[in-house]
Amino acid sequence: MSARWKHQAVWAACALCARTALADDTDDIRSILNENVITTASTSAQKASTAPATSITVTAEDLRLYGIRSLDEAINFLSVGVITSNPLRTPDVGARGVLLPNDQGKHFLLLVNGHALNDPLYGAARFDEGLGVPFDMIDRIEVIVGPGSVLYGSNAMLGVINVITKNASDYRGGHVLGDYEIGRSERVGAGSGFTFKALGQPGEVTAGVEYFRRFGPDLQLADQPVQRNLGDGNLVRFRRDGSRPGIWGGTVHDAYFAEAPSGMLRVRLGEFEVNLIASAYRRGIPYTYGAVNVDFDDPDSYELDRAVRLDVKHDAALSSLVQLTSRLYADAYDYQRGVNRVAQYGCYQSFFATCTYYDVGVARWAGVEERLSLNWSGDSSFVTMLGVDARMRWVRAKRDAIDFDTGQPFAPTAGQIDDSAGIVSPYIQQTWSPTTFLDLNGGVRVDADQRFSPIVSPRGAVAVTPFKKTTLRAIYSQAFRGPTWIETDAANYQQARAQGVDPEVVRSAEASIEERFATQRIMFGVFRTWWDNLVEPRTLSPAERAQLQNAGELPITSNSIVQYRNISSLTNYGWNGGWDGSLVEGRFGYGVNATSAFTMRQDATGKEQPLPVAPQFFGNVHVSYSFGGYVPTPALAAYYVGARPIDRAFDGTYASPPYATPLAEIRGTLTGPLPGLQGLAYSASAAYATAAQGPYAVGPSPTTPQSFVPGTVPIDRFRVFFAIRYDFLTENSAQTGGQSR
Amino acid sequence: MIRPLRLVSALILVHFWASGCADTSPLHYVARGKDAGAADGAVVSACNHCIVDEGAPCQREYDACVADRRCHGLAECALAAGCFTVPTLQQRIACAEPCLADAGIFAGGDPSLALALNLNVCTLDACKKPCSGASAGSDQ
Repeated sequence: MSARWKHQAVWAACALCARTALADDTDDIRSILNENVITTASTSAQKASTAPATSITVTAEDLRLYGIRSLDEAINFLSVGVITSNPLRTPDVGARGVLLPNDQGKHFLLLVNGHALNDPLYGAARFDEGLGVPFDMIDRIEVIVGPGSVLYGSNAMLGVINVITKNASDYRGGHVLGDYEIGRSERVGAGSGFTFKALGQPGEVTAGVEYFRRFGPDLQLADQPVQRNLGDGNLVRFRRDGSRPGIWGGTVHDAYFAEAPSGMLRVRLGEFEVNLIASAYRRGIPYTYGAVNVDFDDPDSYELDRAVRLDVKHDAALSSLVQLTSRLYADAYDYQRGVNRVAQYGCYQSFFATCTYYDVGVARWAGVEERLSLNWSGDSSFVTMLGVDARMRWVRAKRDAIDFDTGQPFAPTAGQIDDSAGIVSPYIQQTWSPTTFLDLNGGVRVDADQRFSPIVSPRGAVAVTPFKKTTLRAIYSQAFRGPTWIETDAANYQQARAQGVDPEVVRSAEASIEERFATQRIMFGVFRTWWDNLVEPRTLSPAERAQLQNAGELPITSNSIVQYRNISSLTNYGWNGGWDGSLVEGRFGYGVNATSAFTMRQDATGKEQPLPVAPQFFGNVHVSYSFGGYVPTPALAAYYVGARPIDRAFDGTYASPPYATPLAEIRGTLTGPLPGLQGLAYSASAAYATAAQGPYAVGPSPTTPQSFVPGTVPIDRFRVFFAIRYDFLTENSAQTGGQSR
Repeated sequence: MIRPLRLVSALILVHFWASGCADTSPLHYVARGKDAGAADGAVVSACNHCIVDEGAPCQREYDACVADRRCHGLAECALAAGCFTVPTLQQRIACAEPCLADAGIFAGGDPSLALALNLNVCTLDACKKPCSGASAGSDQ
């Protein structure tokens, strides 16, 4: 607690410093020029200081300067209020002290150019190299912290991240790039942007492709003796080659891999815009965790996402005061997971060597959104936005149990889902700026989903600017997450079909102050959120299991049957703040962000405990100095997350809840143009992490009596990578030293 | 201006909606025979889960058996052979005969055998359904 107050004192001192720095009129101009503009919070461009949400924008220049190579790195090193945690599968994303382990992004809405990526079957989105967009095409990342369902519907509980890609003017010419991380990964990409005229209309095309591959590093997982045997006198085996019986652990060399090809095409012609995205993301399963028991270091076990996404938008100015935006979108997404295990131990099958549990899910959704914007006063001071989003979703899923070598099933297919449902979501937003110092924003959205009762998501915000450079803001907002089909409809050998699961709901109240002076911006805010109806798997008691069996709801007999239910609630409050700016005519850039929170999870019995994996204090800092010319630009970025309980801390595995030690990761990057060839540029980075272990338990669950204690996921502590890019046929490559922008 | 875009959109839509996705149709499953040694894999799996898994109906008897070295050997061998899925005691004994020898159990009054029989009784009662194939499944 004292540390928290110390941090608050530092921020208060900073605010005082800011006041003394108020200087002359040129500061006003600089201040205006440096004002962040954000579009995601209200779907129209507006100043970040008066937008109805706390936000931060990470630009392509930031990504380049600080050697950022994926969305989760951008979040950790450069955003405010948001943090990710990497279990070496796909990262979990949290905000302001709330991070749900193994969540896979279900509670954060991820957009690309306003197009939602979270699928309805699993609800997941990938925040790492599996994002699905060539990283070089990203123009900026808008991070909106806090509930955002008022405009975007389900999943926007923790916030909304909108990845906005470059216009042709910013991506003119051709671009090729490659990067290599020693012992870890490599990436190649190419892209192009150009403008044209067709049918009397101005048009532009941007396109890019990328291929990312991770091939390491080797992971050292602590040995865990599992003293069980299956009758032939041999201890259980976790490896297909039969080595190291009775021991789970060792070196993961083959199972920690990933491949992620992606491509994107963006075409604009007149009032039309078409976005087409295609991606795949195949990755290994490096260790056994929770409900997924996999052979140790198995190169054939995998997860695979594939997606094709189409978004067609039309903007029509019906008059000087009326704007109609129409959007037609369609997505096809599928997920596959093949998990291999030694048959005798993993599936109790003695007739063949290796069994495979194969999960597959297919989701398709398509919809139309109409948005009418009425600018009553003509100067955008009183704007009404009316919209409706109508969407249809189709999902299918199953689970096979098969012999790995022959492909023949050894048990019937289970967990079949074949369903569809529609959702219609009208919404309204009213903005009103009655004076220069007052901005009001109110809105409400109703999501009428065939799968559950209609849910209302309101938001109200007021921003007061009593002085030119000071803005006070208060926001109330609500958001929800509709239960996914996998949570409600899947019924297999581990899971009973859910009954009457309601959407999760979060309510949030926050207040903030922002001070701008010259090229500096300081923000400090406090927040309080209430989370209800969190959907979690609950292990059924023998009586509950028997009841479902008798009712014919549970066609199998096995223990460890779970059922998704509305189980827990969260209370959460805290503060976040940030200071960013530049000096020396923009050559010296810097920023610091910090968040502190207090979060408690309460289950149905009223039992309270901390939220596993969720750090209650985290932040980042970054500095860079551009010398210009051919001199390399040095940049340093670091982030910090405080101690947090590991994911299985409270499930009875451990005698006392273990905590992951605080983690600081520091990254130094040099960037600059290479002399001799115009348009050629390089980047070199080195990173160091202070902690060796992360907050996720690895390995099989201990049996009773406890014979071993699971280890935790390792952190790759030393990382070095190099990147090179070549921009050609650009008009401004000479000035930017090879930068794409 | 609109027509080419409509055409492109329609083509793209048709392409990826019609293109192949992961197959979610059920696999054709043929149950194995019921005799020991060629037991139905799904039944063996469900039955063994009912015995071995943490919190399973017969876990207490199983753990008591596991605590005894020879009973442990017998039980694991019988589990692997699917002996608990055959319906009658006589068939089970026939199934587990090689296991008895392997475990070094040669006398009817052997205390290790008594522990194994307790486990067997439990499976006939608490695990009757899964072990008889009335319902079958796998884990994961």
